[in-house]
Amino acid sequence: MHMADALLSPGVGGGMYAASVAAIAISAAKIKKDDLGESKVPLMAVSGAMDFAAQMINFTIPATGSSGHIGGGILLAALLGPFAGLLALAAVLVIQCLFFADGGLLALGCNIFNMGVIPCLFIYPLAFRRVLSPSPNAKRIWAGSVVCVVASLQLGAFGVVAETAASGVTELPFSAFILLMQPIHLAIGVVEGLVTAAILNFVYAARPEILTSAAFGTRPQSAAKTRKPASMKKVILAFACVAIVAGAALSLLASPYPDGLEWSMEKVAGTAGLEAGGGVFESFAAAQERLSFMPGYDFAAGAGTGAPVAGIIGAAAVFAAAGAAGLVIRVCKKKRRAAGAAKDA
Amino acid sequence: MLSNRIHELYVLEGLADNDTAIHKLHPRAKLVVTFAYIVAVVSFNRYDVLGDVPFFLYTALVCGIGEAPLRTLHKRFLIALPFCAFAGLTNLLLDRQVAFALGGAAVTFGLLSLLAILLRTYLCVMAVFALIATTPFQGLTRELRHLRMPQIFITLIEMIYRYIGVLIDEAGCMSTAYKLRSVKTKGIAMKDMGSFVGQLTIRSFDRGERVYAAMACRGYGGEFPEMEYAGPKPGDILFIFLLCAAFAALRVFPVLDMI
Amino acid sequence: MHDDRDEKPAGAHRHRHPHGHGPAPLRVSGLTVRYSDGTAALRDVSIDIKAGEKVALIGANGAGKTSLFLSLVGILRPDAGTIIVGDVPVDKDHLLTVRRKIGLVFQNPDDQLFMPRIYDDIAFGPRNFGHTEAEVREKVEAVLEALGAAHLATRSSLKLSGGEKRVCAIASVLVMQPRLLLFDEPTAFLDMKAKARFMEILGGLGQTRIIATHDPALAAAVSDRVIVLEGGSVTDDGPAAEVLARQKFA
Repeated sequence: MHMADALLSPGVGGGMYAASVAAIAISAAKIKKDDLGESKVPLMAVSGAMDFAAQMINFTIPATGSSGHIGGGILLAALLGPFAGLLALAAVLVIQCLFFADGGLLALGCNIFNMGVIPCLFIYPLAFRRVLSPSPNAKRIWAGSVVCVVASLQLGAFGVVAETAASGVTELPFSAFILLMQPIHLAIGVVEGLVTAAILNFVYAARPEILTSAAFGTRPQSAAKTRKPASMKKVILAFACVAIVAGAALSLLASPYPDGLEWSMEKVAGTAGLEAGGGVFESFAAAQERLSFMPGYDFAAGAGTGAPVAGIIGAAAVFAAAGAAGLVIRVCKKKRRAAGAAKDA
Repeated sequence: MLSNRIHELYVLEGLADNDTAIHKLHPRAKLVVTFAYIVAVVSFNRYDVLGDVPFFLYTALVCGIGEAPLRTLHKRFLIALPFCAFAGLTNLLLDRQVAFALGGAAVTFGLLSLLAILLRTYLCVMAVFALIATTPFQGLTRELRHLRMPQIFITLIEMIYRYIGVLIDEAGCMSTAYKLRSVKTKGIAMKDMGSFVGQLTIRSFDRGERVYAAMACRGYGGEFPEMEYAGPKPGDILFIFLLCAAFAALRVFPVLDMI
Repeated sequence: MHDDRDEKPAGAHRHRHPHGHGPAPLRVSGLTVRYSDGTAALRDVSIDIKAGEKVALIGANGAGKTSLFLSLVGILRPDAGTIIVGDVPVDKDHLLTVRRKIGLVFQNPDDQLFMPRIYDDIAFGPRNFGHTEAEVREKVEAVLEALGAAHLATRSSLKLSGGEKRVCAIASVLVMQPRLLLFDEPTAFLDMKAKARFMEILGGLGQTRIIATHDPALAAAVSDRVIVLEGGSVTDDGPAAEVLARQKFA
């Protein structure tokens, strides 16, 4: 379910970044304000690493012969609380993005939103905590986990579809994409929900205080310290809502303009394609209009044959030149190193 | 299998210790340029394959000068491919309008967009790998800290990165022990996942408490101490400026489209 | 888990050792610590250790060795009894002072080394105590030099051997110039060679020292005095050779 850079326009990617960074900033501020925040940081780190490791464990799904793995949004929120859960999951996503190319760098905002903000900041407080209250028990954990993981994955998958569609990179009609993604993620959600429930029930049986304190913030001993002004809470919450809505709106706004840069260039230059540039600009633009095979430009069937061939040859030349340059650099370096080693010996 | 993943994770870290011209650049320079690169690459029209092609020069040169092992990176790129390939293939099936003819064969817009998606996936993934393979992780997080990202979050990224190896090791031992006792060799039965990961979770919580204790013993009280930070040099600024200008130029004047 | 949120981290204000870096004595009297479920981890433990004494604390797993150590550094709060390190009582108001005096080397170096780079791990303590970056660098380099591990500074803890990790964990504690050193099962993850190196390092340290171990050979080799802990209580205490003979270890 990791969103990739290649399916994203800069506008949508940037908007989702704004939303996710806001959510992270708010969560970080929340943790800092928390009395037990400091001791929580190592706990969050090790739990995040645990989630990372658990995601790599493939388990076999009975009667299907296929295998699955867990995602962990609801799991981490249930273990650490919503804000700490989001931070841990977002940090895991950053590392996966950088080291494993699970989701691109531009798509990181989308991925943190789809897989972290949705389960931790929306589904968990709205549904999971309610199902668990007034106090957790095995049945409530089963129901809460399955329902919430399914809901998170449905919303997350919808997020992927919406972001892709808004970016205008794929041809797949929105409705068809939805019809494809949602059922697949329903199945995945049920399986992941069951596994999450089993994990949480195991933890609850062994260490009930972990889940209770994450859900209801029961603090041993230090409950006497109630110095937090309520107004600050409201301000932060309001800011959270505004930031997240703004981020989402920004990416929607970008949607009628599949090409973010093109759009901004249009605004700057007055017209699309920089025709107003005059001189060199104009001739370039004219050449571009004549030859490039972008949509919106008319291709007389057959008439354009010459141009694309030239383009393909040009592309091949670039690939070859770049590849050769890389190779030459490598060989030179190796030789120099070999020479250096010989000198040393 | 799990230990392979640890190895994969830290192979890139090892590369970052190299000392090439790319490695010597300030992390900020590489971070900004990588972002600019990705934005430029994905900002092309969805059928515009040729516009993206010159951008290949960047990853080729950076990987070349930075001595990044292409085979390792390419292998890892394949992991990222399936979802994009899927989206691209649906384009191929759904968008059958002919764009132009090429030696008698019709080239559809769907094919163009498939090629564009594949090329972009490659370029974006390789740009990130090139960044990671030439920049120490610590340098990147320090840069993010300096850019006023929340302290807690950055510390969390560093610590998770640190503990992934430890936890995967632990999970690996457990999974080996499990497999030795189970008839099936492929993965862990779904019904056992609860206790398997549950066990891992409880161990992790215990470990988290010990790590906290160890930190508290050394004076940790919630705030992370400031660390030394050296800003970018003029050369780094020049690097940012030149490459961003180059990307902008290639974006505004797609050379190959104009031939 | 307890913490010291009432005391501000010392990053803001710098304070010096009032009594230099000499070894500190330790006095524990009537210490009782209970787990949250009420069972006692330590019962009425009283120990008197003179400045510079080398002590081994032996006992089976679960005998209370780690709980004792965590109480000494103020992570676990006692339900009864007092602890005095040097002339400072271990209580809420003196946690940072106490933690400067005591260095605790954890059983598993992976619990202690939490940063991606060794240098930053060792620098963590000095930075927390408000030293300037130049002072920090000087301290880190000096301690690594002294332990013969200067080459590890820029390495990542992920790629170190068990012995190297142990050395770095010790460095992260020694860099704070503690006056009382606590080692929890220090040879647990070490091969023969690393163990020999560890003993060599121990030989060069002048601090008051307690080593918790269930290895009687180690206890005999590096300690003058042995204290036996069983079920949370001290059951034997005396010169190493005598106690080990009594315990039928030797």
